[in-house]
Amino acid sequence: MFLIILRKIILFLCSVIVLLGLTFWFHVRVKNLGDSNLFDELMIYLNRICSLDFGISSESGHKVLNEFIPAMIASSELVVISIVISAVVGLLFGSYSALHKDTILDSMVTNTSIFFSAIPVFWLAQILISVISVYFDIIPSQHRISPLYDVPNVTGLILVDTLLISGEDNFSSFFNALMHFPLPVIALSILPVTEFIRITRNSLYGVMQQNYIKIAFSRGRSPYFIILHHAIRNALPKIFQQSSSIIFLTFTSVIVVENAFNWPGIGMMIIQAIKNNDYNIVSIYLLFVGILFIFLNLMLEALAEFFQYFKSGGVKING
Amino acid sequence: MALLDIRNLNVDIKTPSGNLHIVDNVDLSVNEGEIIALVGAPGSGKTLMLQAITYLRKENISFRADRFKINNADLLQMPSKKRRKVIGENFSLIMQDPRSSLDPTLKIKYQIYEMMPKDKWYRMDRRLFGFITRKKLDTAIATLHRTGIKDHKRILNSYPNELSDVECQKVMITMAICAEPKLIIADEPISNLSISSRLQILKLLDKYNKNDKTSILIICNDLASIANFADYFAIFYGGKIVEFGSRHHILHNPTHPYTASLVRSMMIMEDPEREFNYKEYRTARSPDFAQMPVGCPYGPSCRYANRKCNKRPKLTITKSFRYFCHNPLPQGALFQEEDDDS
Repeated sequence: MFLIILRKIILFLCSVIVLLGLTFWFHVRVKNLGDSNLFDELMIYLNRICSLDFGISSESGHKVLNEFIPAMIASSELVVISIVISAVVGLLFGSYSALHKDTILDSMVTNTSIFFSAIPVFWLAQILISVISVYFDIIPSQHRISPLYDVPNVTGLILVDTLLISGEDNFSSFFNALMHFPLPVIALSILPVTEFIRITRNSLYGVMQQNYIKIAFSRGRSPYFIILHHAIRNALPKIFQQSSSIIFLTFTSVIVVENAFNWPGIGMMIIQAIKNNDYNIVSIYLLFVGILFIFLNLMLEALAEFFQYFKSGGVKING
Repeated sequence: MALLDIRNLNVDIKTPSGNLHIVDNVDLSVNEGEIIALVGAPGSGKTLMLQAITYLRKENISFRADRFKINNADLLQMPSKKRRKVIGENFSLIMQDPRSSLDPTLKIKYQIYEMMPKDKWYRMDRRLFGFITRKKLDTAIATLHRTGIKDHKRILNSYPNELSDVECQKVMITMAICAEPKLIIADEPISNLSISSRLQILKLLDKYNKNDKTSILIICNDLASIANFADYFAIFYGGKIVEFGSRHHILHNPTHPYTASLVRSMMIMEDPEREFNYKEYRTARSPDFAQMPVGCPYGPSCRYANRKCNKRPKLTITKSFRYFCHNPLPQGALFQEEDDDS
């Protein structure tokens, strides 16, 4: 296990070096080198990166890092909520269709999930806005919170910050922020839900064919006990391993969703920066999001290895 | 009183091209303290029959029976929840591959506890949890010792991947015994093990059968390895019990030609002085269920077949055995046949 994790860490460092090279290339394109050597410039650039100085945004004139971190937090709030919701929904529907495989309800679940996975996210977002928010006028669709409320920036998470407001606005602002969540979360979690259903169904169905499940059934145990005690335990490592792709899927579709709902996250930021040729923001986006993806992948694989290690009782270390 | 009583069991598989009729009018009754072996070629429907008995069948498999009783309780007229409870109380299963029949994520200890019957005390005194686990632990250790495992501490605290195949099978038997069943159903319990470990497992099952008067229904595709073990043999061919009889009858005066061929090949295999000659073996594959031969299913590969065999044979019942055949072999035909060949 430790060998594998060490290998992953080395892979991680290599990819970080490649990412740094890419961002350095951006940097060189923008800056006129003049007399200075390329190697000296690289040293200076690395020195700046290590002291977390990523330059100044050419559009607003602020420091890039100070613009990037709040956007990142706002995006990850949306992403985490939608992944948690889609995991719960996907696990429920997936396990239902695994237990009732080849029945009408199972094919209904799978076909519906295929139908929803075929819907493009930008179209769905526009439809949600025009039907639910504009035509029926049930919940708001733009921004994180109504501009009437003055929210202090403490943690960056809107649901936490609104609770920190003192006075009468406390609950009403929280409720207002909460009402801004459903539409982007629905648009964002359509794809993850279908992926989770597919993964859970396949993995759980494989486990339900095993002999220990049959033996537990023959002992007259209740199905819920068997599913919770035997089936889910054995299906989880596989689900974990494959769920890394789902997280990346959500992070890529967050760009579209944020632009549709005017959510002040990294998706909005990167599109604006590309329009305005703001190379510093593009490079910090590339660096941070790349590192985040690789790090998440590393963590999930390490977790799966960890499960495998316990499954084998700590005996086997396979290459 | 028969422990398990089945009359006219039929099992069908639904396929896209129509229903396949696999198990055909099987009668089986197991009394207390008996060991019954179901022997037959792979693919002859033994495991399907077991799935029908334990209600572990898949959705495309349907079965019907005229009578299906466990301990005088009629299972055909029960709701499914109660039926599963009755089966769970009376039967316990030992599967073919011991490693895959243990949950890889749980310690052996907890898997053994799970098999034990629920105490009356357990429901009343749930708060005395320590007391209950102590009692369960004692039973588990005692049962492990009965199966010949001495270092119970290591076994109880380890995961299935850390144990060898024989240890896994012994743990499976421990789990089966802990359930305090009246009938142990063993689906090829020895087929993946080496010869010496086969003997250990069979010895264990036999000891348990003698001491506790538990009946055993053992399924095996190798007649030679359980020849001395079972009291009664049911020979399976083409989804049918072609012959049922006591050990002495089957091994010395088989009536059905298929049984005779099985016993003969077993005798040839076990004779160490005989040189290997492939012509001596007459193989009989189990027939393709989609294209069953008209009449007797064993007809095409039977050396005694004649015109009568175009019709389906009827069940002939004598005092000590029963068979499906038009041309039953006379007594002592087994040895004559051997002389003819040589």
